[in-house]
Amino acid sequence: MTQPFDWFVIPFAIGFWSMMLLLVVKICRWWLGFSSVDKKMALSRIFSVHTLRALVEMVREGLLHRNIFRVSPRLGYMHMSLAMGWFLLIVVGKFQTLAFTGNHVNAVWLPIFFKSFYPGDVHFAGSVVYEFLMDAALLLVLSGVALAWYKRVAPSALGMRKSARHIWPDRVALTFLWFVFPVRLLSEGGTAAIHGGGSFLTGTVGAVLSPWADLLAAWQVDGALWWGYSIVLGGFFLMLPWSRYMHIPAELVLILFRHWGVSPQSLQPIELEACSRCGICIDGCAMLPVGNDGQAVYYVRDARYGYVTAAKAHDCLMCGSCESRCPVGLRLGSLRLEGRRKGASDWAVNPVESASVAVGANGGRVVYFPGCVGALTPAVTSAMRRLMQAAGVSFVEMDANNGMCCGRPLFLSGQADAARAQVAQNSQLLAASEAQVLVTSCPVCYKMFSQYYQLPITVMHHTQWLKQMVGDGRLQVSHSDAVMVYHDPCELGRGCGVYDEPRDVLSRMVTLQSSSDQRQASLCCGGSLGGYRMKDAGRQQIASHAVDRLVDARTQTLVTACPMCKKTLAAVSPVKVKDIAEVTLEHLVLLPFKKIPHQEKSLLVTKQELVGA
Amino acid sequence: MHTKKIAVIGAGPAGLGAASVLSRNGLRVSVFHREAAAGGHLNDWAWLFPRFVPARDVAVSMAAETRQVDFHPGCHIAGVSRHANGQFKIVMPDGQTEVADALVYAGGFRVFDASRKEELGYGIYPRVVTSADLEKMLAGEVPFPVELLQQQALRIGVVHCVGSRDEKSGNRHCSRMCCVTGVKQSIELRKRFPNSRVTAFYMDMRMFGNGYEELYLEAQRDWQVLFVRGRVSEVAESDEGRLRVKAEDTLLGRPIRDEFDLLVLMVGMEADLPKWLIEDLGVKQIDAGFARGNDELVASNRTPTRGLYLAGSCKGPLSVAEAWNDGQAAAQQLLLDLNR
Repeated sequence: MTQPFDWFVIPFAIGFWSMMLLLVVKICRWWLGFSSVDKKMALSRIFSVHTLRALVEMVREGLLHRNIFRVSPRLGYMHMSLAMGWFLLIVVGKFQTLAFTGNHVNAVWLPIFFKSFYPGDVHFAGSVVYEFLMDAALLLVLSGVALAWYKRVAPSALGMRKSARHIWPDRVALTFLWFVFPVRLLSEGGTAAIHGGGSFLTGTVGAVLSPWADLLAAWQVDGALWWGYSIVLGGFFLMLPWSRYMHIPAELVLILFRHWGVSPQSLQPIELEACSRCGICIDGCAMLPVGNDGQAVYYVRDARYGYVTAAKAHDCLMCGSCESRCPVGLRLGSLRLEGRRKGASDWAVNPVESASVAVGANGGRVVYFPGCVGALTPAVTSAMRRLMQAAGVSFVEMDANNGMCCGRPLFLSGQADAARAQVAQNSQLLAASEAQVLVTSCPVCYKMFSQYYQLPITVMHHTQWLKQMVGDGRLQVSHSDAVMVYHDPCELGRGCGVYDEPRDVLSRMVTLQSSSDQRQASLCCGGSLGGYRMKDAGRQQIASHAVDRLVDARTQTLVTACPMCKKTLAAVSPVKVKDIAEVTLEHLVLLPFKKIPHQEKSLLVTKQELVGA
Repeated sequence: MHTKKIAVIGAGPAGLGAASVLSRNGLRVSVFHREAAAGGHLNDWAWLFPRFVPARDVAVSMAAETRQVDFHPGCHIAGVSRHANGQFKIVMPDGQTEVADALVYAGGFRVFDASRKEELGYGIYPRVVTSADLEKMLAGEVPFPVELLQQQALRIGVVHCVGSRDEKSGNRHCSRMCCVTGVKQSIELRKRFPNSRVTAFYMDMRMFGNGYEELYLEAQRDWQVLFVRGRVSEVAESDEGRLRVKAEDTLLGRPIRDEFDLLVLMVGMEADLPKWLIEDLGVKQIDAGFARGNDELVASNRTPTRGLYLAGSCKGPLSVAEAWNDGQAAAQQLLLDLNR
């Protein structure tokens, strides 16, 4: 059977083939950018269960958009209906043409312009079912388009406070996309009006238009509509690789390569293109009180088009909120750091001279590390010292005589080499000591020591240590009638997943309020080391916003577990701000003559105990 | 015609200055003061720079300048509103009200709470004190930390600009008086503890007043006070209870670590305006939060609200003498307007 042709398919064909060509080029470039290890890994996994898992995730996230449903069901429906509806149009169209022509390979435009070439009631095996399914899929897409229109007017109706602002390629592509399916409906409806046919949707539109059928036929309105359909569809395809809609293929490729074990570093170029600029990250951004043009969605966009400047790369507190909200699971913090690393004029790699850790000299195997910001909050660190004494834990302080840096500030400012040198030096020092447990008061240090060092010892944040001590009865606390609210530090919560330990300890001592901005949704205090270029006035605005959201009329104390958060929040809070260690010390029941059995064992907190806790 | 009734809020140097001029001109004056005794922050000070006059004497002579006034001590004003006829209704804490034809606001400032700079250890380490605490120790009202008296070679640190010119504590403004206070207290400490060595950490030494520069030179020449340009970044306590200080010498460009037996924080002045002054009487504020007069050159005592005058350090940090003069100036302005 010869393939039908009409000149109006040309715009569509140009758009489609240019898109396909670019996609192939892009995928080749991504592949060539992989390290040889990554390539080997990916090739070895092609015929494995990983591919099946990737396919499942593609359906779940690429079509059903489960993660977006979690943010807001209406927003999820919008994304799902567009993706799923369009996908069904392609699949059902494919089978429709297969059933009609009997050929597996047909002209690429045939399924798309099928009703234009074969108008009216054309009967073949299953033709009525296909027409019905095509109309159902079209209706699904149209419902999504209607919601998308509505979202532009009122983002809040779809569960978003702020919608992303778009640049011109996005606007052009978006405009084409908005018109693709309504124009298809009109084209099919117009054809149905003249020639009959069509299922419940297109047939009904045809019936409505049928009184003017002669006029439509005389003026060749149906032909004009099919031209219009071809132009908007071709235009959309033409723009797709240049616009945010590149996320559609990029996300699928990303999912596949993730499952094939490609390293995060190699995936970064794909991640930049897999951002759909849905804007879900915006609402959670800590920087909103001081401006709404540096959010992850805009940063990733600028990085993709090569517009990143050092100022943009540093215009972020690295609180991790965007990353925890991203439905595509993009590693937005790493993408930001990459921009900082590229723009960094390398500092001299001069590790801060560290103190010697004379562990074991006095029998203690616990090292306490208040950290540099800990040194600015003596109320916190002196509380920790007293608590360690009270628990009968003998300890040494790693930075008692000399300053010591965990390396994270260097790392966060893009000085990766300097950070690595610092890590190496500190690791040597700790390895040479007989330390078995490292307790930090600073979540920034905790994240660094637990995730970027390969230490043969247990690393704990003091919230975890307190939970252990209180749980074991080595520290006994009383319950007061104080009402407190807990602020999750970014690096401790989103950064390390420590949410329950502080709450467990606090709820033994005080009435702990809950808040809508807690755990994953916690707001950055603004003091973060992740944005050292930020001015104090901006930090205070962010802190005030966080305090306003956390503190209500009942709150007596705002409690946190990070010296930086404490300092930043205390500068603006109407209520007292305390660290969990201070609160614990206040509630400590002193047992002066308590005998600690198996003293030596009590000094040690093993990894097993920590996991069991 | 001088049967008009004037309310003065605050009986520190500025309020007393205003009350003295107004009462001597035959006006009926009511003075409302939140403390029991007139004098304001003068009562917290032992001696005044630059010539070490007892602060008590200064307060007494200021109060003696006033004539018959209706004094309301311990009266923390709950609110003030202005009637359409131009009169002010003053609500006292017990709910009683008083009416006045004009109002001089001389509510003063608040001393910066040094515990807000946690890194300096105030309220955590007993040997960290503020300039205000030290005055009480010098006056003998509060004992010095006992160990200090027994120690042979005392090391004393003086930290300038605590809560002033410091964006982190939200105060960009200069409190003006702490530089010379630091110099004065350094000398007093050297007199009190002859074996001591005093190191002062400063950003700039702003010696603008008569005799201030001379006092600064005297401190260096006669009392060997060492002035180091740089801020103190953190304070920790050693096992012996001494204070370990980290700072930076910004002239030599190098970090400093030192140990002290006593650290004195020169706390600054902060705005302390009541809500009613801003919301009900329409007084504007400068960025630092202090009250703003109509302009800062020729009408700093006047406000857009007719009959309302500003006096003293509610408008920004002032010395005792400046506050006293400013109170008198506000009263003169009021008299001129009354007679117009």
